[in-house]
Amino acid sequence: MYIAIGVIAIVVIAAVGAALMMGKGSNDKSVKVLLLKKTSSSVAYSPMDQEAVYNGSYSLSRYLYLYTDGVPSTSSSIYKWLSLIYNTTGQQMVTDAGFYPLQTSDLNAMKAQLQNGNNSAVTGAFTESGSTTMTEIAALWAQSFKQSTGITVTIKTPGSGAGIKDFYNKIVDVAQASRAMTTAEKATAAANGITVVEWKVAVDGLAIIVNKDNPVTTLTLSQLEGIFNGTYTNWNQVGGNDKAISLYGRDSASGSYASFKDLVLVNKENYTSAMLQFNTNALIVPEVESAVGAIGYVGIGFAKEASGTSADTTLSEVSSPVARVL
Amino acid sequence: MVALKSKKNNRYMRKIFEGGMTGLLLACALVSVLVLLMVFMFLLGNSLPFLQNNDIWQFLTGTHWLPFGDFPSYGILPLFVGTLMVTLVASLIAIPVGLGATIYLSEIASPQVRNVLKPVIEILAGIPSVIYGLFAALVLSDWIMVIFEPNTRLNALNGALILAVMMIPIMVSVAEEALNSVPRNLREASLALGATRWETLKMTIVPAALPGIVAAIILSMGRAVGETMAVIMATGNSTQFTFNILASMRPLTAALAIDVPEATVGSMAYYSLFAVGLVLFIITFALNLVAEYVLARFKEAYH
Amino acid sequence: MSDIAVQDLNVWFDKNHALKNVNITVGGNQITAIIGPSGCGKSTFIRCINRMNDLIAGCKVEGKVIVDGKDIYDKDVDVVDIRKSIGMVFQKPNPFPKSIFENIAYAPRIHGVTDEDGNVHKASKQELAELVEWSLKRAALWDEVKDRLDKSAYNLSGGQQQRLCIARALAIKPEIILFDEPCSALDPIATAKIEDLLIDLKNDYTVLIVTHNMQQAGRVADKTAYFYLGDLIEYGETKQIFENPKQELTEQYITGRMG
Repeated sequence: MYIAIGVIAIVVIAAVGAALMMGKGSNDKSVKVLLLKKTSSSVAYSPMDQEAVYNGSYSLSRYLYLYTDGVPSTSSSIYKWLSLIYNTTGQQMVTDAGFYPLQTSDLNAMKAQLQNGNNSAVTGAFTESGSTTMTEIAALWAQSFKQSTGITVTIKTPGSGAGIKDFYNKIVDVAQASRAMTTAEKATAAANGITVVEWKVAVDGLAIIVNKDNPVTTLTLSQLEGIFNGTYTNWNQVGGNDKAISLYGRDSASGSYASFKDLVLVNKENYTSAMLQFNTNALIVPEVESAVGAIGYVGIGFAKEASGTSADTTLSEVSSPVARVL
Repeated sequence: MVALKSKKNNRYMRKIFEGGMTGLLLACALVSVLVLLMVFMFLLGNSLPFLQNNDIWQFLTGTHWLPFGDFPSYGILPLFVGTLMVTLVASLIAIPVGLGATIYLSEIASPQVRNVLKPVIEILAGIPSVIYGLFAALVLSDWIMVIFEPNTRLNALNGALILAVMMIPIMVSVAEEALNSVPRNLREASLALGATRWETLKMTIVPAALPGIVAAIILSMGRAVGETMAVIMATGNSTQFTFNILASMRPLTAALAIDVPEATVGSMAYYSLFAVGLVLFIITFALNLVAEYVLARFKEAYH
Repeated sequence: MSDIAVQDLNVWFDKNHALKNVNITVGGNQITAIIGPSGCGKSTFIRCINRMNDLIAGCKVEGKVIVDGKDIYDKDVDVVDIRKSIGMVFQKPNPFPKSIFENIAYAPRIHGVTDEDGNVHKASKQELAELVEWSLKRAALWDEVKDRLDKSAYNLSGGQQQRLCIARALAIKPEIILFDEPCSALDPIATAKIEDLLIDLKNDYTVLIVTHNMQQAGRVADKTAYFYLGDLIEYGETKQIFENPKQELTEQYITGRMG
């Protein structure tokens, strides 16, 4: 019996060793973030360009949201949670995670919304569910929150759609989402006796990532649309090499799936069925790293980490407003 | 008189006891049948709202699976092909390897080797699917990339290979039992007639153990058809309709796991997913029927 | 029909010395019976003749068993070859789970058929059919099964199954046939049929039969060998062994005082 365990142990160690040696050195790999331009003659912008994301010159900007039942009163723990998020510490954490903090006007509007709350139902530990894009941000907030108030926030990330569902089914107290709730979802929540209050908490630029060996650096919006609806199937159709395009995106429970679709597939078509679907952002990056013909979309925080670019890199381009609130 | 009377009581008590036990055991057997029936009714019942309001032919042969959104499409053909391709390719690999391993273990290996290999294989059968899934996603896919250079790192071949790995321990366990239970005297009879070990294996032992071997194959195929976790992590889950084993696919089980969390209770998408579950149930049921038929045919021939 | 000359045969099963220095010559055209109490080594002995003991782990054999002038335990002898010319019938009937026809055709299918020139060729359907009929007739089973050759062998009675096994052994046209207590699982009527068959077979084959039934040895055997605890105690004409045993141990067994 012990020999059997020994044999298995040896085999496992050998396999792991082989895997490591097979160049799983993802430190050497990285991805490239594409620049986007609205038309072939426009200026191209990167999601790393904060101004471009804020004013909308970068086309795939969006807000990241939290949803609560009513506005919390000052005695509620959710009030304290939102206060943390909207003060400098909380917004700095957004930057630390690689995303963009709210612009001043949005921040003021949210702080104003936080006044005069009357829902004091939740005063201790609470639960939050939803977007995987917001995993790191929410984790940073929760950690700081625990340190300063001692209150535990339990967060799960089954995707924005599932999180919103948990929220309107009263399974969790707060939803985190990388897209806005739809009218239908708000109606269902109302039918369940929930007063939906929407909180913008951060700004995201959806980054289009490709393999670092892909010579393409820029795409127009219509080219991007053509790629993701299946019209273009080879990189040489969009100015690259002769290589089949392989697509990596999110699955239907994801907020990013929905927001990307709204922003890119503007003619209301569907994603091509050839797109591989993942349930988190994190899984997309290694795929794009390892396949030369790959293209995927992730929240900017994931792209920055994967491409090794710091948050301060900006491009000196004229920006135009297309920020989407996260 | 007293002695006789107590004997009568004892007999009475025993009758009650035995009757009760029989009843209890019968109830256990019935429970299994009942549960099966209940599952089927549950699936059927919740599929009806979908089946009654949609074209069933379109459901079975449509090539687009998109149950959500403004213009949903409920064609399960890509999902069905996904299950078919990964199961088929996995079986093509697992059956020869599994049977080969079985024969090696049962007939050729020395007792020392057998004492190491058999527990190893049994442990392999107990490893959770998610571990296999991780292995496929992180390691196996890289190997496939190097050898086959597919367009996407995660693809049906990855799923098929990891399924094969998961099928083999089951097959070996059951088939080895079958081979070992062939009576020794049949083996001796064949050898005494001047047959070699291989001829004995081929002409006597394997045919005699065939019902068990078929059961082993069907059981492991059943595992492949029903496996969810490992294929979700391995195949990339695209919904395209293709027979290309190097492309990403979404088997029926993966579709259920991915779409159920998103479906609102009572929506058409919700009911369509039950219809998918019904299809899976029917496939597994059919597999078992085929196994029964094969077993019956061969049993007839020998006894 | 061949003679079997056994010289200085010793067999060990791990540490157990099962057969000790056995020397015996068995001739053709006669039935030789091996008798003795349980554990005396008679089954071990007979299984040495066709090297079936090779299948048992931990079995060591020393000595010579010479058949047709060749020691079958010689290093360059192919054990599969030996078994083609030595048939064996076991204690419990063990037909294959196949049809009656397939049981008999089993070995000829594997070995092929030897024609008059000594060349071996693959058996044709016709040849197989003829061989099956011949074997079944020789085993006195033909009339009972000729209409159901394609039915399973398991439908036959115990006695019929054993005769089927004999027919199966005959189909390879052996020189020697070994019987390891062939009737111990059968009723008296079936036993009688097989004993008649044995007497018929001795004309064409060297027949060696192990039996725990002394009366059976008395009925069918020309010569008898008495084994006790791994030693060959006495070997001679059956009549002499039973009526006038030379060794005291033999006498004790025969008279029932021991065994």
